[in-house]
Amino acid sequence: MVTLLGPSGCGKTTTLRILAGLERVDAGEILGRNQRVLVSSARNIFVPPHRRNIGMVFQSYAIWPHMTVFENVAYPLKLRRMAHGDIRRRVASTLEMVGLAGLDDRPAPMLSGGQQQRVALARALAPEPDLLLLDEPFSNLDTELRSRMRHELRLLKRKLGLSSVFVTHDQIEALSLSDWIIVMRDGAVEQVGKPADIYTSPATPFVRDFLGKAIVLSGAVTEVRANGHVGFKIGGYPGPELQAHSSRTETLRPGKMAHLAIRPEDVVARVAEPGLRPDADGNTIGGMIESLLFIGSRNEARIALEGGQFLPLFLPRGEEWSEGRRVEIVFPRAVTEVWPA
Amino acid sequence: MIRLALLLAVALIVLYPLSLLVQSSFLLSAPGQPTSYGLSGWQSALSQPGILDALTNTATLTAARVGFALLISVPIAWALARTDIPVADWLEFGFWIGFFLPALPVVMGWIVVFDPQFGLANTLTSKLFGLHKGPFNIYSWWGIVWAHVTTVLVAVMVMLLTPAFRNLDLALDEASRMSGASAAETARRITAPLAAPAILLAVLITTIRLLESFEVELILGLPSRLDVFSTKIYRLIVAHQPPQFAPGSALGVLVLVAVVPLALLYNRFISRKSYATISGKYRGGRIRLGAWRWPAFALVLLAVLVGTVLPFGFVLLSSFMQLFGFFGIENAWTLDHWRTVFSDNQFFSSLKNTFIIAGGSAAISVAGFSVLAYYIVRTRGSVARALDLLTWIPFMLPGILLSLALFWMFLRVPLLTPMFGTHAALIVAIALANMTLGVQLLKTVLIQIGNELEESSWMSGAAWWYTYTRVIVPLTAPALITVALISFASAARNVSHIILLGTGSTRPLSLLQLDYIVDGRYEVAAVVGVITISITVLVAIILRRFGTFADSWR
Repeated sequence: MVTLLGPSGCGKTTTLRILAGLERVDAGEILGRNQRVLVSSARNIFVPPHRRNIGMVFQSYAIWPHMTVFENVAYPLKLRRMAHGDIRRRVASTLEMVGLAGLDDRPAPMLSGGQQQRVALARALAPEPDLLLLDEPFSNLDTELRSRMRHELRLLKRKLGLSSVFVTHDQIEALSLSDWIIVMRDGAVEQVGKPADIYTSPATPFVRDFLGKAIVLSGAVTEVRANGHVGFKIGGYPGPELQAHSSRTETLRPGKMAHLAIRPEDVVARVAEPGLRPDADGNTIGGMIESLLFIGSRNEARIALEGGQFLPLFLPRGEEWSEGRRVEIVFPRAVTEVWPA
Repeated sequence: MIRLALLLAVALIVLYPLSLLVQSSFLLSAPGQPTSYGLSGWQSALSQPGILDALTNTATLTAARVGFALLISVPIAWALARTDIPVADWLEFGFWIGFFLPALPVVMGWIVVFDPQFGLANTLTSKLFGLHKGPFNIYSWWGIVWAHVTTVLVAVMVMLLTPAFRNLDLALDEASRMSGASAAETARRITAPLAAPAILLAVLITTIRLLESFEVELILGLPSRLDVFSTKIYRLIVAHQPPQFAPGSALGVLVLVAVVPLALLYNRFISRKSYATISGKYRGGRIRLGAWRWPAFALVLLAVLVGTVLPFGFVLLSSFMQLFGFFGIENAWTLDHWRTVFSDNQFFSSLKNTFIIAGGSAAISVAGFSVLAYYIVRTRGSVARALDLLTWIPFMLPGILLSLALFWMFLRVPLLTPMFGTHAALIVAIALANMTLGVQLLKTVLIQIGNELEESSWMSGAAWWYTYTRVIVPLTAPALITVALISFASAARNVSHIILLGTGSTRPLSLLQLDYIVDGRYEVAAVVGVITISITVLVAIILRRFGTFADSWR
């Protein structure tokens, strides 16, 4: 499963439609299974969509309202000249696979949103295509249904072993469902990689901020060492400098403006008490809880640092946290990264 | 209380004339004589050969016109709505103009081309092929079909079908392509069935509208004595001495009975929620025509030109001709007829009448329809539904019948008799003629505005009247202006609704032109025709800028 991930307008849906054959390209080539040429601008080849054997699930589901569920799913099979008995069997097994067994004769307009989506999936899967394309298939579902469908799609994928290309702007979907993620912005590819790699080692600030949350503080580099260790002074903050690292030391120079980035879940926070020794790591800074939101499973806090900067933080549930309290925040060096400004 | 009074008033103005119509079909005595009732009117209506012919002609002509118009309009509407045909906006605008063109001047334009004696097409083909006489005759069954289909019908159907085709979700077509269907298979299995309801609706509306067509048949059917029911009623009353009121009314009631099932079908159709094909995210993708792009454009452009520019061009030309339609004589061109018209008092008084009638009916329409629409939309219950139903009746009523019914009402109700022969009668007729469209239009706008804007005004402390004038009226202003302008255009070009009510001193431009034609004064008729077309085209252009017109039929 390859996911095209990016903000609205980045070109991910257009790319998907190019794969489907619903849009034309200005230049370039697309090769399908076994190096079959689907599109070639140089050789003037264009295989129309109905001959590519690619299944597609549309964002609006595009279920034909004048047909029943059975007729919708049987449509691609009839076009492939399958025998009537085979069609019945295939439709029944596909509907069972997507959890809609028994709804064959339901007219399409009488389906709920979630049911329509499953019919769309069944219709795409029934002819056993070479490739499955999904255009933001979950964006019209409520959150509860969405997380359920994610699990179901993952099981389906394992059972069928079908290659698919998924388009979404939701990074949770991308991270949880994909083998590979292609992050796109403004029509260009920012990074390609496995979900875990992209999350822990983003290639650009855009990817870093788009996937997951990131705490970003501005300041300046104090020293750069060959082994990747970098010293960083938080802008405006009177305390000691922090020890961080960077995989791009060649772009950094002492005195240069830079950003410090760390994932909130990697940060350790505790209530500040006088007399407590600083961590062995030495990367401790102090701040004050400016505002605290209780969101049920945890607290969301906004910490004000001396010198004017803020950072967002998750704090566990507990009586000890309240607005106005001073906190100590520890940034473990291994996961604290410095980026050029 | 207000609701009930409103219901009563509307019921009176709509149903009472109709009941008089039915009553008069049984009335054997002339007005002023002691009243006597009987069935001879009906016997006459059902047995006179002329009447049966008229009904047959109505049926065959309607079927042919709707059929041909459909054949031409469906591809055009599909091309404009779903493909990348160039300058689709301007082509649609062309059909919009065609929709507004008045029938009389258009017919005159076609007479210039297809008259059997001097028609341009006939002289050209007889010269080219060495014939004694050209093959075309506009004064025929086919002539009536041609005149209607090319101008009004294709324009109406394109206007009705294009938005409907546009609303079909493109993803439904694309899903079919991805499932393995070619473009042709997709059109057959998906696009056509989904477009069927819209096409059916267009057929219903145009059929009901066609039943009232009058002036085209009056002019073109005369030489061959070809009548449809509307012209037959007219002749029974105007051309016979004594006027044959009873058979005329009986014929009217017969046709009314035939229209009712059509109208009921239409009502049932639009209230039933058929396929919800409007998707939330409309991407506006268009089908690429490739090599067919410019040929398709040429064909649609041809349809627009034949429907609008050609007839207008010819009637304009003919207004400058010494002798109507004769291109080859000496001194063929002159400004004389224009000078005649502009120095004629009749013309100026007709112009004045047109403005009086237009202004009066616009005022009544705007005030009356907005109140009606407001009550229908904002209140629930049987009174609102009854009101809604009543406002649909004028739509079903062919113009000549409305004219006849009002004629009876003015004649028989002593209170209203002074109105007979005055502008007021014509104002009422025009207002009634536009009632259905006007109320529908305002209903649509009010529904779109929604309750909350009013409710927030009430929460802020405003009483009903304050809210109405400060919130509702400004928001519905474009629709109100549309209703006023439609009234205006209607007053300038309407014939069948007012033909039995107009007199020499109250006739507007449309009736003046008809009188000129009947008198054989084709040249000045052409001049008046050009002026009428100019007025209605101007209204069409102004209305285009407001754009609240298109969806009111749904």
